[in-house]
Amino acid sequence: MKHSPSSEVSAVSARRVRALLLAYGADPARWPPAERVAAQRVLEQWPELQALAEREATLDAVLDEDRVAGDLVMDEAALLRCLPAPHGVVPLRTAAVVIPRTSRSDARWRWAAPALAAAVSLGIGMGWWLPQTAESGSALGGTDVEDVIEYAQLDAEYEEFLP
Amino acid sequence: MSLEVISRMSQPLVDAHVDDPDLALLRAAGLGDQSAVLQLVRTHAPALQRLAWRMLGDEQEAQDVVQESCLRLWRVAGEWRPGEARISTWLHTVAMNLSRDRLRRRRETYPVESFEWLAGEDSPEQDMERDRRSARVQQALTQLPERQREALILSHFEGYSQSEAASVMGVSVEALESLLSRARRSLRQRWLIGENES
Repeated sequence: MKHSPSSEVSAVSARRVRALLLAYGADPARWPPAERVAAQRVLEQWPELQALAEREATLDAVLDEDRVAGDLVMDEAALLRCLPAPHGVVPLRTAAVVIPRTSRSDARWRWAAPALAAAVSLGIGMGWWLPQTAESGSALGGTDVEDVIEYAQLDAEYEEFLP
Repeated sequence: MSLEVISRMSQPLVDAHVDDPDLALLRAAGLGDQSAVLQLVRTHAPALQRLAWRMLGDEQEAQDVVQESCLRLWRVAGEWRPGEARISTWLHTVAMNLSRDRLRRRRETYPVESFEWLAGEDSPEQDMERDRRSARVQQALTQLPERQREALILSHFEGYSQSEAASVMGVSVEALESLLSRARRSLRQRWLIGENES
């Protein structure tokens, strides 16, 4: 800075404006709010600073070509699924406590689980036994039925070709 | 990481005296208000994702960082002490630290040269040029020293105020300006922007 258009105070400010340009670029919106107005006033007075601002604006423009980050997709639903309830949330704890506390009036439901288990066991047993029976039935009697059908078809054909 | 350590991460923040617009939401979320949870996520997750993506260059990893950051906020929600830190600043600090950890792990596993920033290979033709230019910026960012890159991401790309960016990085505003100046100088030299004028 070889030329100072106004006072010594503005020369100090000019150094500061230069520092602002080098750190934050040419857009005054990125400068510290407290210094913004004064810095812009100084910038208007210094051609050297204006040249520097132009150069920094070029760099800003190149940096602003990075737009891919703006296209990022936030999978909000997936994020929310992964997040448990925040610390201190009551409902999850009470749910864990409430389930074992069954009242006396619900005592009859105590047999529900064994009954269900017995029903399932019976179902599995029947399932195991019935296919075997069906298979054995087809193995023994199925052949006879097929033979009858076959003979019947032969007879029919034979009758069809009778003179 | 213990709660004490996580809480300590918010200690150097200088903008803590400012009223935090997210505090009421965090309290409501802590009481089980799902709409508050949703609003907190919607407010902060996109910025956290951009930050992590710019640090890591990987969309899935960035999403993991966001998730982990939110989880950590959830864990400390009950013990949150208002006035010590803004929630957004705290979240960015955590996301920044998590990204640093991932970068460190990468360096231990793979050589730095093996990382390539994706330039949208499968994009339609009209997006190719934009992606190419964007990838150029990203590649230049990766080659900056880590602290300079962080300063530039927070200040230039995320538009953080000076004090907020300095808080997230745990440095003074003067140190932040120095990091920014050096980062921009490196980029100018890389792209040969007006270096003969300086």
